[in-house]
Amino acid sequence: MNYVLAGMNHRTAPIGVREKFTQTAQVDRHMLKKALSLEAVREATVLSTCNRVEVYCVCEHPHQVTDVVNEVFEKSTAGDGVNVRDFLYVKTGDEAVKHLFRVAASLDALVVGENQIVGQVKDAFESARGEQALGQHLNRLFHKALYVAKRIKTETEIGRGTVSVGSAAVMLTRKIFDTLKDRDVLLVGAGEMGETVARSLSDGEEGRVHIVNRTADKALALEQSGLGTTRLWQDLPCLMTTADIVITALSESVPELHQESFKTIMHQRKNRTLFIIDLGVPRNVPPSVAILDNVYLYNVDDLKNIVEEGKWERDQHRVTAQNIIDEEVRLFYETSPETGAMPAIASLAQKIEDVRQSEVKRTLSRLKGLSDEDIQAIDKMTQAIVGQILKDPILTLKGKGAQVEKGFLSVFKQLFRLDDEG
Amino acid sequence: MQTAFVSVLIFYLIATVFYVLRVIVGRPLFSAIGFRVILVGAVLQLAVLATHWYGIQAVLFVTYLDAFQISALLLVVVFITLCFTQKFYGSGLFFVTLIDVFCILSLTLQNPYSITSTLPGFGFLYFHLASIFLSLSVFSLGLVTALMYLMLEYQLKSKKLIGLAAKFPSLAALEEIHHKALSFGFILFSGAILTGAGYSKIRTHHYIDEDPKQILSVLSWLFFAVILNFRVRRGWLGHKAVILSLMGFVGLFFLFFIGIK
Repeated sequence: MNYVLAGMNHRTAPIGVREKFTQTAQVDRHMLKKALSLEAVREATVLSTCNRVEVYCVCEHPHQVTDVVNEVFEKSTAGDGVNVRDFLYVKTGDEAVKHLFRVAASLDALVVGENQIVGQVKDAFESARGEQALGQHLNRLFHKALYVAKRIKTETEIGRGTVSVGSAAVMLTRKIFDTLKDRDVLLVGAGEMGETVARSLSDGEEGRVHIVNRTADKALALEQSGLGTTRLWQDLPCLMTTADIVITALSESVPELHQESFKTIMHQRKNRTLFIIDLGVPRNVPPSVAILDNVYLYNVDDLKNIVEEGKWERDQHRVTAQNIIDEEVRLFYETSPETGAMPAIASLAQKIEDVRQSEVKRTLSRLKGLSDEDIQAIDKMTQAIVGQILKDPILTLKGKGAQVEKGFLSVFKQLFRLDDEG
Repeated sequence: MQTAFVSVLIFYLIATVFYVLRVIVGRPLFSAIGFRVILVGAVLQLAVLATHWYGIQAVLFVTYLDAFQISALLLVVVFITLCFTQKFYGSGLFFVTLIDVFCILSLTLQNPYSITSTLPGFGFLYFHLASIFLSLSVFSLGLVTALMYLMLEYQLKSKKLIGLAAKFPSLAALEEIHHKALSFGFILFSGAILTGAGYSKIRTHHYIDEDPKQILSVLSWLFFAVILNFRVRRGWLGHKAVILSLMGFVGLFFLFFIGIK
């Protein structure tokens, strides 16, 4: 039996193509049924998320993959003469197994380490089980994939780390204030980077961001884009006493942002925590402000450093996670009922049974006048003899389990000429 | 029964080893194992305490053994609750170390005299001891959160979020728990002082005398009262409040161990 995977994801297909396969439970079920309708397919599962649609099958022979792709991805054109199959990837055997492990562990996701995918893999598994599309192979594969995902989550911190200046600001805000909810953001200046960071921090909530700029036009443009509310420059000192997070993005320093001003502001705030993100170049807020109690000042370089550190850390975790996957794929095959000693045992049992049946038949043809009871007795006796003879070698092989040595297995097969069969 | 309490301690010591490994090796797997060992230890401790209480058929808190064991168990329960509600990752080593200390004290300290319910003013004495040990537990939580706050604050100020502190809950969450521990511990401590004064009145006919322990207790109470009051009135939040309360905790623990001696 072979694992076969056919699918497309955010790396191989643009959103226009992926949209054509936007999945609902009904569509998934339809795809699943189509896959199962193929004679070659024994088991199947459809895994669909907003970034991928993948069909996992178990087929007897790898060359049957083409049938799966043809049948399941029937919408073979994406318009403008573009063939859907150009965006498909097909993997078989351990490559397919490895791919599912990577997907479940969120190594193949758009945002590496996000947690949603584990739930989606579980849903795909449950849905296929509900449709009775699972057999022992996919059952085992998906259980293993979920186990690998859990192991990687426990043993690495793949989901942690920051990927942009905006997410670094969000991470710091969470570290200081616990949550972004109900936090007032004051954006001083209307530059592009300030806007990006303010949008990250506003978390989509309305009325949370106040925008102050010396020229009203730019601030109004930001207000119209739905970022927040424009306030007058004269209100700046007052707004600083109420805001939790101040983002400064001016092209030059202003008196309102000097250290003495901050001392007064902190006094007026009754020392409530203030997080300042200084994105201005040159810096808008003097570094000495950072020594004030309950003030946390970060400039653009500090945020970039956090992003760089996060990148390095993520890479380390990714390497560890990939090593775990490689190890688990190896174990998956080593402990498979179809590898190791099991096929040899089955072949031997079959060969001996064939011999027994043919010898019984030959003997019975020579013995005339036997009653049905006599024939049954002879049959049972030969079965018992065969069973007794096979008992010890089978127990020895089973006892060695997955750790059976290749050399030992080879001798065993040669001894009984098992490789010559079928 | 002593052996059963020793086995509880062994569980907590094993958990400590895992939390130490978490810090040294840096793999979250160790703290996950440590946490599970603590869970098992807590269940065992509860069972042992219940058996102990059933065996002695007397009130708890009147020997060092059961008073420290209850304080340790309370701290374990608080830690487990915080892990589930506040994602108190990275704090295990702090808690488990204190729990170990409480368990070791419970097994090593000898009671100077036995307390029975026939003693004059036993009611006052009993509530005095219970309030002291419960406040010790709650103030320990305050001590742990204060230390965590200062470590995280230092890293945020120096812009290097690394190691254990990077996994701590937020400053706001730590400050809130610290403040709650301080407030609740203060209430218990007030109860301890009042019941202690009541007991003193029965024994010596004075609410307070020249015993340095009593004077230091009242001074500590005043110190915490000032911190709590100024937090509201003068905005003694964050760093300043944490440093002051830390000084208070250290003084209080010193006082507590003078009391034991």
